[in-house]
Amino acid sequence: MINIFLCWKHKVVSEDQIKEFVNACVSAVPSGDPEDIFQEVCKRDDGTKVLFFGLAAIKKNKVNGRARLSSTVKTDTFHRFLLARSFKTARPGLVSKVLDHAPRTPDEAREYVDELRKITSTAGWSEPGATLGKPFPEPLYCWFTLTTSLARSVSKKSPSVTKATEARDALGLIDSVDGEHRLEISFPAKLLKSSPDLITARPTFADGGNSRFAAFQDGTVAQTNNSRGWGTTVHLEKLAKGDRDLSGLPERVSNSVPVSPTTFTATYLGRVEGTRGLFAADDHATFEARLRGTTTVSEIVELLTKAVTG
Amino acid sequence: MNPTSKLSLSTHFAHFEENEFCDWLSSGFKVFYARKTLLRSAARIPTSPIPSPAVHEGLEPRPFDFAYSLIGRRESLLDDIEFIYEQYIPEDKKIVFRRSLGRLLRQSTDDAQFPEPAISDLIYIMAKVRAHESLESLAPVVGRGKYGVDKQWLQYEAIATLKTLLPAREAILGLRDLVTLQNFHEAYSFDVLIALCRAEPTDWLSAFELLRGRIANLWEEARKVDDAAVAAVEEEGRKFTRMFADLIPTNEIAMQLPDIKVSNSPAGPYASGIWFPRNLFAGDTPPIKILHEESSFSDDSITVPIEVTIQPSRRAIMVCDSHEYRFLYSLNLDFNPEDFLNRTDDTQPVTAARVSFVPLLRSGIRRKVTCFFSRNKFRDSLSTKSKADLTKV
Repeated sequence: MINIFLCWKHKVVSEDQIKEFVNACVSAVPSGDPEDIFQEVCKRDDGTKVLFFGLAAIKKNKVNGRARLSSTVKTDTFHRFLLARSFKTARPGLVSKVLDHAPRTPDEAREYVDELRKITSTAGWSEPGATLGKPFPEPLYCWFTLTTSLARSVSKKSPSVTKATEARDALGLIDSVDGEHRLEISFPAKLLKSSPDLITARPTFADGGNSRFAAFQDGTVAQTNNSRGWGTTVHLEKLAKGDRDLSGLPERVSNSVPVSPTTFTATYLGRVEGTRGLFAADDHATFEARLRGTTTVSEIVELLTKAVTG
Repeated sequence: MNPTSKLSLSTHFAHFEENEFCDWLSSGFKVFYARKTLLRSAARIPTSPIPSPAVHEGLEPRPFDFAYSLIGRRESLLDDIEFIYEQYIPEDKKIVFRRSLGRLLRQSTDDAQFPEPAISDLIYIMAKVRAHESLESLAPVVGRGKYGVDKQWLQYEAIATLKTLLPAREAILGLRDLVTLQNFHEAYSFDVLIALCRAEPTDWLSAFELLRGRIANLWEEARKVDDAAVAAVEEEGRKFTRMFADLIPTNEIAMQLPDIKVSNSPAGPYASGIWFPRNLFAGDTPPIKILHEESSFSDDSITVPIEVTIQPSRRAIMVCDSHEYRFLYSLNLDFNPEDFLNRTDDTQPVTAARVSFVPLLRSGIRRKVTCFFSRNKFRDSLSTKSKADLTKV
């Protein structure tokens, strides 16, 4: 609700669109858990979900056509849903290797990187028809950032922080927990322009973000991103440290992006260390308070009710 | 999901036994993938962002029944189920859930309605929830029968899960079982071999013996493909040996090496097994050096200039010949040689540098003894019994 309020307050979406969304919620599930309402209102008759990024003012994507965009997935997600079955089918006389999901030692990590590079440099490594996004196996949304921004972020950290951990923090991936291994998947920005089926937008409250999603943030970086039609992730480490500015990386959302083995790359980021959101410093309540700022819940309810019914 | 819902979900699972978990998963997957089939045939892009309220009528059946609202919230269906396992299945039922995964996998072979993608899902979920209790079901399901032939990618996925759960005993046994089965893909032989060596360095020889026939078959199959395939197998053999030498303590190599069975098979180096010691010791820069040193040997001590043994390589196996014995010593220098050489106190043995006395391969002797060495001499620590066990060449 706070994210709806932020979108309304900062005119990320129009008042009419908020009215339409809220009315749909009311019609779909008259009562119940707010998350369930969201799930329900997004569902279609076949159980699939409706994408709501159309609610956002779809601003021209100002990314340089030569830029690359990045998203991250767990290693097992990649192996299960993106790697072609043909790669998992051994042929007599030809040596094959199996990527395990959690390289434990530096040696194993090096082997993983080598093997992954070998695989993704081969034509046809991706499963035919595979798309990038979430939730697998039939992704609907694809959240992405600029590859250069992610690279800058992960390279700034000390060697004691794994790239996967920094990527998790910078991208605000609160559901990414200790011990999981992540890959960065990148693809050319021009793919979004050249594919008429792909819609891309600045994310809003309606796009199924996780529980650390902020539809609008103050701060110079976030404001700049906003003016360019990008949202901004919540940096989980900054949240945990109580920083004033929580802005992480620029982010946009699209419907799932068809994976092309020739233009997509996969890079092993390593193991995520530590779990965020377990302590009072960065739990749900703290984040909600940070998101809400000085406005009280009753004030938000009052303002939104007025906007929707007015 | 509010606290009441969480309690309600946990209450459901609190009454579950293996059968109920199997039914819940099986029907959940069936409904889920039936919907996915619908989705695939539907337009990918919604024409309107707002669904009509009417379409929410008649949604049943919902995938995963009472837990349906947790499905589709995380990165993948696998993560959703892992999340349900972690958060909603009571602690005392977790082991029951883990066991049910293997049971359902076995049952799926006789269930024509079980969705094909869900077979893979089960295998991946085993890794996610560390279902050691179910790993024994993997090899029989993917290594023989209809899955072993028709769904070969499952073997890749099973190996990935087993490798991920190493060095758990159940994962080692799962890999070993798989290797012995009819439909094991010999293409994975080197991969499985190094995984087993890593998991059990003290038993690398049995892993080698388990897979040497498979590797020989792989080489034979490669010969039927082309020269490049043969070269790839041979390169993989060299790569394996390098990894092996880096991975396994030299002591372990030297201790087990004498038991390796190498023949002069005319069928070639892979059938004879000689490819392995050849890769290990031969060439200009072998992974492990063999240093030959003529020494005088007595019952009490062997005197060898230690510089000879340390400087050439930190990893070496040294052969010492006397008029009576030929011994093979492994030097596992897991300390800084510089520190060792600069030591001022030679009275204490360097326990970090254990030297294994192992009879040389072709001597045919099977006894093993261990001693310590100091900077200037080997300090013999042979037990009386060990000495007595030494056999003349």
